[in-house]
Amino acid sequence: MLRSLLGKTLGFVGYTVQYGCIAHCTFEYVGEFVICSGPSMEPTIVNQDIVFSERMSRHLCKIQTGDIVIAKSPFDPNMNLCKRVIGLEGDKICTSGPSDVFKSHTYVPKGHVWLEGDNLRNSTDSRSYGPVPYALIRGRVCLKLWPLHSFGTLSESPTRRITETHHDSD
Amino acid sequence: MRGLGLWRACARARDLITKHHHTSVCLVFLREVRSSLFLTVPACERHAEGLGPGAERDVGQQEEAGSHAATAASNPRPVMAQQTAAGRRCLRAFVSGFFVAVPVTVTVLDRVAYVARVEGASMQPSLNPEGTSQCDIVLLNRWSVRNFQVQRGDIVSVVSPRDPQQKIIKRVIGLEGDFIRTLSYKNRYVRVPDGHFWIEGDHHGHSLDSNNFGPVSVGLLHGRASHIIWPPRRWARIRASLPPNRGPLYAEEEDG
Repeated sequence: MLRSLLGKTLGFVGYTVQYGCIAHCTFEYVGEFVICSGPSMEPTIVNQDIVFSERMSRHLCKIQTGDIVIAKSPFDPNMNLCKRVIGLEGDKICTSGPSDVFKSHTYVPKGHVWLEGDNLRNSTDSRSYGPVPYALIRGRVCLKLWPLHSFGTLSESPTRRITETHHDSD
Repeated sequence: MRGLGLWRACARARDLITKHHHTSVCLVFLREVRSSLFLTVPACERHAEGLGPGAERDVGQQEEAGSHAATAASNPRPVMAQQTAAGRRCLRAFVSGFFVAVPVTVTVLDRVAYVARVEGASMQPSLNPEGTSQCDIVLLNRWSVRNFQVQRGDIVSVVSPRDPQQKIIKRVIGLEGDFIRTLSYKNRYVRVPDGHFWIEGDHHGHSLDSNNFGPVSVGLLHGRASHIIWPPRRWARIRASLPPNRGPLYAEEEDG
């Protein structure tokens, strides 16, 4: 009786550990579901949207300009950001807003990325705290799951910031 | 009857080899061989039922199983067929054990502890005191940094902000809000911003640390070095200790 109870308990613990480890590996190396909050990525992602973020391209260093990424905040490691990658290391970035008279430019340092929200008026991003280390990126948002009527891949940047910088680098 | 089935299987395979890709040929051939064997040998049919659809998947994935079955086909005796079934069982056990061992190992390395070799002279004399002749191996405790809690004086490993592929091992000098007297940074005094810390190697001047790239975000923290585990005569727990003349400014004022 006691032995069978012990065996069952051990088996249960073993299965729990095994499936916990499989879940950890899946969330760490394949992808995870994220609920976005805040206005900074409107109109691409609005408040309370559920997106799927895949982790492989971050581990393989395949993040490209124009991808939307989930990153840890540089000032609070427990908080996550959802922004668009505007420039990779070595890119020339326009740091001023679109309506400013005097354009100011900067270069993204080595091992960093430049993140900006799509809602330029209401977004705290690299324009206020500078470039973000690449290793803080957690994953690339590749699929929007909820609400259902906007299911699918995400649209291009509405703000023309990327084409502008490409034009500059050419 | 057994001979007839096998002959049919061989003929079918020969036809297919001329047309199709190798793996699909293998699959079809195995299915034929198995059906011919199991028709004649009832003892093996029980095995086939016990294995279920998983057996076919394993056979499809692994080429070794194919070679086993092929040898059984060239000498179709019940003993060989049983050996094939035993081999398949071994393979299944191996695959399922593999699916347990790999996630558990990865999770332990990610969450609990990690073992790393220290390279370079930047942490002399705490680590690598003999220079390049012998590298220390340290145990990085990852469980204790799961909430990004570190103390001043801890030796931590951090993902390098310059190169995300590289990890650096340094000592924490100041936490967020501390005032630091820098050594060769562009500003003489620095206040460490929120969510950052100031890290330095013990070997000043030979270390690429916060004096080069400024305060480092706590989110880049990878682990805390808790023990030196190799070489064995240097086995020791690493205690948090600040170098005598380094540290946040108010602490120095209290001392002097």
